[in-house]
Amino acid sequence: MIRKIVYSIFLATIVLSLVMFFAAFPFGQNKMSVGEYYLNHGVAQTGASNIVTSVVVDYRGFDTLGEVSVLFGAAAGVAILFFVLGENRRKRREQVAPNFIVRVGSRIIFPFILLFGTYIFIHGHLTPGGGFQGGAIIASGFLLLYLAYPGTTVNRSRLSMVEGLAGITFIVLGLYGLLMPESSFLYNFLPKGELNALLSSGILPIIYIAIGFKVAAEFAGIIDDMMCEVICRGGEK
Amino acid sequence: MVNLANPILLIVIPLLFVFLIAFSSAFSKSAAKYLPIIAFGINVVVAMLLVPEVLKNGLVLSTTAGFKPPIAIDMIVDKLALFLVIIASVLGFVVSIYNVAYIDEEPEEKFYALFTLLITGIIWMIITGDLFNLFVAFEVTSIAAFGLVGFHRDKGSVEAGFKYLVMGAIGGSLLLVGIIMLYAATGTLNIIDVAQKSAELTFQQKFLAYALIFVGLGIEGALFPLNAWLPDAHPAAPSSVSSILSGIMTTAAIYAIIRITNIIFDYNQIYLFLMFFALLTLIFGEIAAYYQKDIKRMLAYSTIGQTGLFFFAFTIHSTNGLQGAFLQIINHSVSKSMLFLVVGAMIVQVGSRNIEDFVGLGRKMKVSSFFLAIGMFSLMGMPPFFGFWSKLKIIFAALQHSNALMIGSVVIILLMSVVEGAYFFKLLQMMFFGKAEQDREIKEASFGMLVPVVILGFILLFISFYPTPVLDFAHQAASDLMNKNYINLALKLGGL
Amino acid sequence: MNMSLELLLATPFIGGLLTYIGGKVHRWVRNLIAVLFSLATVGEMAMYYNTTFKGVVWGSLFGSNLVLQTNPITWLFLFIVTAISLLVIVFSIDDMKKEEDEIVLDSYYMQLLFVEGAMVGIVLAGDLITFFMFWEIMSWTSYFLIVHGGKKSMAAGYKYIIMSVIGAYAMFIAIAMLYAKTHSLVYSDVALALSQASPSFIIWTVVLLSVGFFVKAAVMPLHTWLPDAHSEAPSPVSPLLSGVLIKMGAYGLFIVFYGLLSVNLAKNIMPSVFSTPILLYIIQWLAALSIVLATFLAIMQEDAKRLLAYSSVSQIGYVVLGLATGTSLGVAGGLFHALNHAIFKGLLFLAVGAVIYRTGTRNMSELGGLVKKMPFTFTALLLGIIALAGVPPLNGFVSKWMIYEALIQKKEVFLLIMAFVGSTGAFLYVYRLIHSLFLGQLPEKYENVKDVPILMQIPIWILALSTIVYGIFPGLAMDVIVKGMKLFGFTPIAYNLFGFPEGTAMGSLTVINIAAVLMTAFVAVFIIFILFPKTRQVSQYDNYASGQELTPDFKYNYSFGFYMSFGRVIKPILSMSIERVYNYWIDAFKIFGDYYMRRIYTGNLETYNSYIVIVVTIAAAAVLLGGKLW
Repeated sequence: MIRKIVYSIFLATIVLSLVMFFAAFPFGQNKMSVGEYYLNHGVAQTGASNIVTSVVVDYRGFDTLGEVSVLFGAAAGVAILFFVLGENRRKRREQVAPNFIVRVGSRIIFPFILLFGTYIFIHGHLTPGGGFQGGAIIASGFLLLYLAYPGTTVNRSRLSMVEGLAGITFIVLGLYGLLMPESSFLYNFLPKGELNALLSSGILPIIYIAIGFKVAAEFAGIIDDMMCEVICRGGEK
Repeated sequence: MVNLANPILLIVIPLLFVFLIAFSSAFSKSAAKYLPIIAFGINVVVAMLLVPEVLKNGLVLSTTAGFKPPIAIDMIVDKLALFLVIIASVLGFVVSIYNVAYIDEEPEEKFYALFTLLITGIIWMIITGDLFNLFVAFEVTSIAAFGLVGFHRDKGSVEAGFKYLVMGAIGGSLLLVGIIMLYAATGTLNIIDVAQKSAELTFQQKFLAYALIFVGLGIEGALFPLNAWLPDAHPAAPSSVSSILSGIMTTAAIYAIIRITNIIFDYNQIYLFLMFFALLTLIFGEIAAYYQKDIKRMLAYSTIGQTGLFFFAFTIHSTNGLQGAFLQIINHSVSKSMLFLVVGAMIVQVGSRNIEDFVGLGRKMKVSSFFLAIGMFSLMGMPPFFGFWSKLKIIFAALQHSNALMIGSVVIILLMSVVEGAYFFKLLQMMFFGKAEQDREIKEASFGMLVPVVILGFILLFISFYPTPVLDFAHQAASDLMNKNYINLALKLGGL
Repeated sequence: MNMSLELLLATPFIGGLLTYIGGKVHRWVRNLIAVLFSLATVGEMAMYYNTTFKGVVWGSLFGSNLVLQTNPITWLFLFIVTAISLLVIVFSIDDMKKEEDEIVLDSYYMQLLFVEGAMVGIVLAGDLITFFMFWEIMSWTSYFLIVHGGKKSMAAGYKYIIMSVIGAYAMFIAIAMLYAKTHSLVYSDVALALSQASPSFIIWTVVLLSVGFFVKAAVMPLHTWLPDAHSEAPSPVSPLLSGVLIKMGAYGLFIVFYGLLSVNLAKNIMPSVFSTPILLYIIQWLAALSIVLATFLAIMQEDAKRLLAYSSVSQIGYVVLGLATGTSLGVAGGLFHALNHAIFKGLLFLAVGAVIYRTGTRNMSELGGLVKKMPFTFTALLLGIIALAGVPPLNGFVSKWMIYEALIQKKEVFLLIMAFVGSTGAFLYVYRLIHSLFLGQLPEKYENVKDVPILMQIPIWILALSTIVYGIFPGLAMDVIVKGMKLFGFTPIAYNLFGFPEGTAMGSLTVINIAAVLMTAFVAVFIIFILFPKTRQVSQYDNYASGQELTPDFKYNYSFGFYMSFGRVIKPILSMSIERVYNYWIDAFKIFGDYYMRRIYTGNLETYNSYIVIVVTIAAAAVLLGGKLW
């Protein structure tokens, strides 16, 4: 009881001080010097009509590379913690099959999920969404497959090939920027194209496609690992 | 032609190899073993190419996306950063060699990918010039470290990994909140821009943001009382990973604290506050290490103590103090990494982490034990090893301010050095002069594990007996930091 | 010539490395290299006889030059260091044969030479950084030598290194304080800075430096490591430790009080007692206490090497007492006693080592009657104990006489009495030593004991002859000491080859006359003894005990508890042990630390996270309180 009181006092102090801090900077007040620059110059400089994408992939594309690496690291970490040897991975426990509607429904819906995900990441520079979202949607399709057909397996080496290749694409595109006169990583060296056209804003769509593939592969891998932890024989420790 | 002396390559090349490892694992198992060596080999070369540039200009700046900061992210390598980058790259290279012989557990390719990612993240933390990018690098490092700590998948390592995950995640969130607060206050994320825009803010306004950033980084940087994950995580991880975690990762986090404190929060009050943390870290690390029965846990606590020591040297807030801090960072990085590598090799032979089982190893594993002894002597600050020079500098720097606080701190530091001597000598005499009760089948460590140890050992011996260039370089780095050359030169080179 | 000072410093270190490598070839290669390099060091040392070099810069660190220097005083200590090291190495060749593991021996010789090199470095140092650096090197290399002695020696070595490190760090603080003041730690600069510093600063630095030297010199109450370390170390190492290593503390005191701080300066800044600055006066008392208490403790020992170790504490007390008098005669006496003690204590440890080599025990109650079996060792040991007890004409006499004379001149009666008590007590324990080892009944198991091999006898004999040489010709050493002390601003004392001429204020002493008198007396007694044989030659067993005839298997001569009744008298003094106080605090620290470490690093994630919350709360509270941290 005393502990609870003490900690509530602690939390109250922290919250109060945070409130004091943010009271000095009211929400919506125009303090965003960099943000303003993005708003004013983003479309012209990057050729992407989705200003968020221009920030995420172009201005702060290096952060995105980091995020991609974080996701990669998380997937690899999950793969390590839930690692099951190859032969055990194939031995599945008996599972009660889900009902008919789930099985048939998911079979119908699966291609559409893939299509939707692909759409999202291909149009990342034009419409809301992008590689991360599209990849996550595609991975959710795999999740659906796993739920409907517990026997589903994905070819892990192909998945890691995809994620590796996607990552390499991202970096090689970035490195190519170093060859340009600006000599800057992730320099947008392709023509900007016409605003709102699918083939516009230089390397942004290519990167987003790579990210889409990568995220999809990684999430699919995570799902596979987690499912395997439950249903593979080797999972019994 | 591409200018290879580009800081961004330090991050991007290893990252490329991370993805290459993932890619190659699809068709070749053994390629993954050797790719990290190539990656960090290239990194060492790039870092070496940067040396003349940095010495000439004082700082090398590289932008991304073809825009100038603060619009886009920039990477800045000044002397101090270069210094740490070289350590990180060399350690990465050497420990990658060690891994080839050391790691024999599945899933190897994931291990190598994460291992490479870990060091990439560390280098990234060191050279980034952008606060949010720092957070990203912090996350890259932490995420890679979480997975690696749990690599053995036994009860201890999973538990340790979980503790680390929880505390690291809290740290990451606090860091993020702190960065957001700074962003709210200034509307920009570039460190130098933040520093300039926040100049008109009062100490009180900035302090909470600073405290959150400090706590977030302090969790990773092993400052007491935020370091409780460390004594569990370092022993549980594979020895090569412990070597990196102890040798450079905590250092990188401390470096980030130093950088941010120096650039954005350069207030005298803060240094007193930090000194308090540094001394507590030192005291608790060293005393706790004394009681440990598990050799890796002992080394892990000793890492806490050493961190306290060089953080203390930073909080002296003078050129001399900073020089001492940097020297101690080198000493700690090289020695402690080497110790973890040696101990890893010994654990493979002995099959236990208990100190009692190391009795008489000095006669069985002569080369390993020799380098273990050198590393320990250097950490204790015994002449003629490098630790002596750094300890000398730190104490000299501290006593330049002859007030009661400093004298008291020096007494504490030296008392803790005695404690450090107490546990290291206990181990050393047990290894070299103790006799095992039954004869055990113990051989010298395998060649592949000995080579990295010998490389690090020779680096340590070299800088011990020829310290002048390192001392000078550390001095230049320190005076650059004190004179705020980071900001001045970056502005001149178009950093903003 | 400048180079060769660095060469002198480097020779033992290079020799040490080569010795280790040579050991991989063959053990004789190793032994040869070790002997040759220590011989080379002695030779190089000899070149500097009575020369003075100021400041050969060999490097620079943090803006302070690293300097090597030499003058007659350093030469005296160099002489002690290199000569004893050479003899020890020669003695080791046979004595350490029992160690089977060759690699242990390789490292043993390497460390012997390293210790020698470190001590050469300390003596040659012309600035405090060099001094401190070699001081630390000496600590850890000698630690490795001590722990060569087996299981018990590990505990002893551990205690030694921890206390050394504590002492060294006390010095370190003082050195850092000086550095902050001057930015140059060359002796002359430091002396200049001290002459302008505030009294409290001077007192602090001097006290802290002295603590470091007291630990190494084993002045009470910081002596507790010595009896264990010196007795548990391998036999050849003990003379190096007792004879040479603890002298480094004395050398340090000399440098601090007369090199960095001059007596006049000391007198100006602190009150004087008996015309001695109070700090020196306190040191005199500590030294005198060391003399008396350690003598008492030595009397009560059962272990031959432990007895000698306590005796070392007592004898180093004389050295420090002499150095702390602050007068020419006293300081010269202290320095001379440092040399003499190195000679006779080295001799005694080697002789006892020889006995241990043959019998395998150093417990005095198990030994006895070895005089017929080991006559050479007996004779040498006899000379050693005569020298130690301060009986003319051997060397201990002259230096002790000088110290007494200095005390008499200063009218310090109490200290004089204590010094006399120590000297008288020395008779008791040295008699105990020679009686228990060589006289009395020979235990049957030692029937086949022979005298030691020639390589072990040579060092013993060299030292034994030195006791006579320096005893009869004190002028040999005084030449160096007086010339050296002139450099440190002392009024030179008059001396000649045989002692001190009459008519000076110093008092007079001519050892050759005393020796002649003694010899005459001895010859007279001897002649009387021969001419009037009133005694009957009997064998050892021609006797009765409890009405029974004695046989060789019957032990009638017990030497256990030799001075038991005396022990009862001094028991209250012996029961006071400073070591118990130290152990109490160490234990308290350990228990306290263990308890709190367990409370802090509980292993519970919730606790750990609460720490984070607490830290953030403190920061938040600081913000709420208006940006103040306290």
